[in-house]
Amino acid sequence: MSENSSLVGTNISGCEILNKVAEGGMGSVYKARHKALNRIVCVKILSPSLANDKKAVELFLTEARAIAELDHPNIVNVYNVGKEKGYYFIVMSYIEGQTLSMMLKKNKVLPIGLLLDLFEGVLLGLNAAHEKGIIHRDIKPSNIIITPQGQAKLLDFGIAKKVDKEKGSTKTTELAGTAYFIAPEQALGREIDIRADLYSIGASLYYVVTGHFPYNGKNTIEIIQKHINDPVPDPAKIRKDIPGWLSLAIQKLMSKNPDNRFQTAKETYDHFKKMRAEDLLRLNVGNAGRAIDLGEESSLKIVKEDRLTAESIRRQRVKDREDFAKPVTASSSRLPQMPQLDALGKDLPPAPEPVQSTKTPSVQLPSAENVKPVNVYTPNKKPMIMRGTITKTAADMAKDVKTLLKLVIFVPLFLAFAGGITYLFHALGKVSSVHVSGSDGLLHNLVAPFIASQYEPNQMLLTGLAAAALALIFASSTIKAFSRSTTTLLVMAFVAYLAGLFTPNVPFMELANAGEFIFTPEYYLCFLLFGLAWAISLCWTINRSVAQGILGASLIIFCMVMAYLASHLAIAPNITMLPIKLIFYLSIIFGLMAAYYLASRQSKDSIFAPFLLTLLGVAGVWVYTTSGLAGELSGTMDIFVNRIDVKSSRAAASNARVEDALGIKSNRKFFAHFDRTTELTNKDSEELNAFFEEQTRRIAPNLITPETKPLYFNFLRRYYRGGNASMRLAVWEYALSYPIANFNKNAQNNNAYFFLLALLYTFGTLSCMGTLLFGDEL
Amino acid sequence: MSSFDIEFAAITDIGKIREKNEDNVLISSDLGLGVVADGMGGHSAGEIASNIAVSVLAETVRKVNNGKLKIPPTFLPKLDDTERKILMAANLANAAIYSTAQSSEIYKMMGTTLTGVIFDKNFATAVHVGDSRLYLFRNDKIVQITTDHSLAMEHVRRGLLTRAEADRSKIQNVLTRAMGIKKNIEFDLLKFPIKEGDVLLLCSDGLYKGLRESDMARILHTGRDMAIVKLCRSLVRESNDKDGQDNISAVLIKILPAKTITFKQRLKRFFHRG
Repeated sequence: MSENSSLVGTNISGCEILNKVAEGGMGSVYKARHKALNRIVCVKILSPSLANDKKAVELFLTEARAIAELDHPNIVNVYNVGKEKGYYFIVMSYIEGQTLSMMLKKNKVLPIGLLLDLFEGVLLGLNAAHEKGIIHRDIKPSNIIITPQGQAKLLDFGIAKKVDKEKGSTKTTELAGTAYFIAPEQALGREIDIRADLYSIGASLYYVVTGHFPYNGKNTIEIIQKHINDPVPDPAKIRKDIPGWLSLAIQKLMSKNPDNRFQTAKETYDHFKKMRAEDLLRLNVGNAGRAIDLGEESSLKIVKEDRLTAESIRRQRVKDREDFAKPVTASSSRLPQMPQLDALGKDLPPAPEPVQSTKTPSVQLPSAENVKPVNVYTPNKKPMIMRGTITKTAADMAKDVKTLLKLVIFVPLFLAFAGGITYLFHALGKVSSVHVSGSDGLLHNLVAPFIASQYEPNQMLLTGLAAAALALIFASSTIKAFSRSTTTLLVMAFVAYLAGLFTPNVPFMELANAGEFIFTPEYYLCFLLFGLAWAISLCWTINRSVAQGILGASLIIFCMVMAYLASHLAIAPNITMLPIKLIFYLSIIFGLMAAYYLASRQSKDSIFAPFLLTLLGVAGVWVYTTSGLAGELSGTMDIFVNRIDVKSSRAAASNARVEDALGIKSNRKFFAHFDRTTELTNKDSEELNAFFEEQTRRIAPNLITPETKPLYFNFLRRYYRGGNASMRLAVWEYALSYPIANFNKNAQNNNAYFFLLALLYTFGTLSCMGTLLFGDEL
Repeated sequence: MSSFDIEFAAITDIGKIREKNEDNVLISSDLGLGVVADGMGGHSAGEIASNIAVSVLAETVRKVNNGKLKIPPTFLPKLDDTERKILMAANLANAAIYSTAQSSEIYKMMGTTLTGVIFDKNFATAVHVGDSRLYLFRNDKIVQITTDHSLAMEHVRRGLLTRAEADRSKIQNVLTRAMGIKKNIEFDLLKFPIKEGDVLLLCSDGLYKGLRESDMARILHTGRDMAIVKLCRSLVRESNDKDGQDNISAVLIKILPAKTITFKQRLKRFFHRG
């Protein structure tokens, strides 16, 4: 932590921090110089992440104070404890030594005599602490430090206590204590007492004597559960030169039931002292080879645990001894070659097979650190395979081939299927056109073409086939390759039907006029704009719904039809009128806004706003394109109607009275139009037409041809009945609907339907291929 | 999407003594997803860890649904799509927490539990790590679907402790598995069929420390006609009254018969991705 490393050079409790020595889960340890005493000390700073934890801090301090009171040669001395500059600290004596685990690592095998000396010290220190009621809870070789003078000192008192003493019970992934040396009752979360420390002493002793952990497993849980459940291992099975009494003492210390252990550290210490004295005695009287003395051992009560009994242990031991020609003496100071091991279990080491003291090990034991959890998924190792990425494994190749095969099968199938449907519906339309009659009613025209049976080919048959084709289209949506083409197929069927109905004489797929349409500039611009909106809606939007896709696709088709129709008007838009220009630019803006809405993340679920905007845009473009026709018609009618005389009448007088009553004086001019109509209002259509004929002959003999006569007379009728405004509305109505009205009328001369069909065919094929290539991504 | 109509409710409560709420819950009816995460770690690391867990999980599921993120074909190909989706989302969430934890000393020890359930057709798929729980309440019986990844429960599984002992144990809060501690962790993946009338309860340890399973069953039974949000609230409130030592979170999910939808809803659904 940066704030911690900056501590170097600062003063904490009169100590100048020199450098960082170690760092652990609880905090960092610094070497420091005590200014007043001019002495090197060790300062431990509680990790800032725990400094906020009031209970942890409280325990940290209480425990440290208790240790400070102890002042035992086998416990690291605490000089001061408290809080300064926001840091909780403990000032301890600085020991220029190494921990027992480091020592084991360095020397591979440690002489038993030396180990016993060290552990006697540890036991004395522990006993002092226990008398104060302090439980260490985390005794392990790395918590035992050895001074250059060969004295063992216990480190890290009570800090591990923090976790399980806390009432609020913080969640954690770490158990207080180290898995390799933990007492069963501690691992089970039961109340523990000083005897838990004795278990850890036993386990640590086992480890330093043999170089093996008492229990090993592929993970912490397994190790912990072995502590709880598995029979106590016999250290003598691994290290042959271990005195019998020590092996039994370790096993007694490691009893599952605290009652079966030595009850205090003092008792253990006394036992060690006594047995070593006896060993020495035996050595002196020449009984060195037989370290086992059954008589002596009977004082040690080893209680039956699981499968092993004291008796079976002894028998095993005796058997082992018999294989063992010349044992080394128990207190031998020779260092047999053993591999290095670290109590922490880090960067682990080849461990020995049960060695006969001087043999080099050859077998490697598994350690907890080496076993990794099942690798479920590594995001970094296996980057996402994005669309289009080509991978080269055999499986992928096989998949590629499979996709290719699917393409080869399904795309031609789709082409044939779509072609067949188009042909069928076109034929149906063609035949239906025969039965459509302008003189019959709407209902007749809707029904008759499908059920008429007097002509060949039989309509009923064709209708049946068409219905079957529709069913097939729906059924095909269950095939994955076709699943996204259903809508396209349905639209194709409909367009093909219309094409058949209206263009019976045009050869199939003729696209002669396509060029003319595409290069009409301003419509092309609109087309591009809506095409963009469609593309965005189909590809880019987050959470794109099926509806959005369909909407986008249908809008573009709609726009194309409109653009195509408008291009056939052959009348330039009326760009002289400001409102028309404004409408055009507004519609462009609407289109852009629609595109923005479809693309933006904020309104990803909204479809109504872009839909409305697109419609407004389309309407604007439509008004713009038809404005030329409307302007022309309107201009013509202006010349015409201004020359009509209208006599005043009784009705005019009555209108004037109504106006007076309503107080409308200002709009007199508008109401004057009604005056003009009065002359004609009571006449029937025949009379009206006769009147119009006479008027047109008189005023503009060349203006009206027989074809345009009904149209102009219609406008005039509106003029006489509703005035100028009504007539203009009629003109606009006509202009707006003119392209559509003329579309089907002139169907023989245009190929719009076929152009659409070709487009749909391409879309359908593309979406079919896309589905096969990219699956759900399309 | 599920073939049932599914109602979700979620509540998280700080409890009586904690200064922070380290739990995070998430429900999303359009994803068909309910998640509970219980964070751990000093400072505000616990909150951050659990927040990352639920948000990355939901966001990944959403991305996969939209086709914005493709599950690599090599990723556990034997599982079905929903399982792969939720498992990948959980793995990505773990990676996100782990990298955040490594980025700063303050966050170093942070981690979180995660219990999430996603619905698809007639099945619920649960992903689980840590000591949050998923209960299934069916025919007035409550069953714990997930197994806690706590040391106490590990012991129970091996028969070293009884269930009752484990509930009182001090090592109950020692997790054996949690998100954010390691780069790769194992998740429990459970898939089970759901039925009409089922109630699923996802909860953090705060809830079940205050309420015994019989209590939960009683509340769920008496409140079976209540609005699900109210029911969820009463569960949390009762647990808080009895214990309240920890943050309490609950997600309640009720499986209702697929109801006939109105024209307006149908229209709405048509314009929204399912």
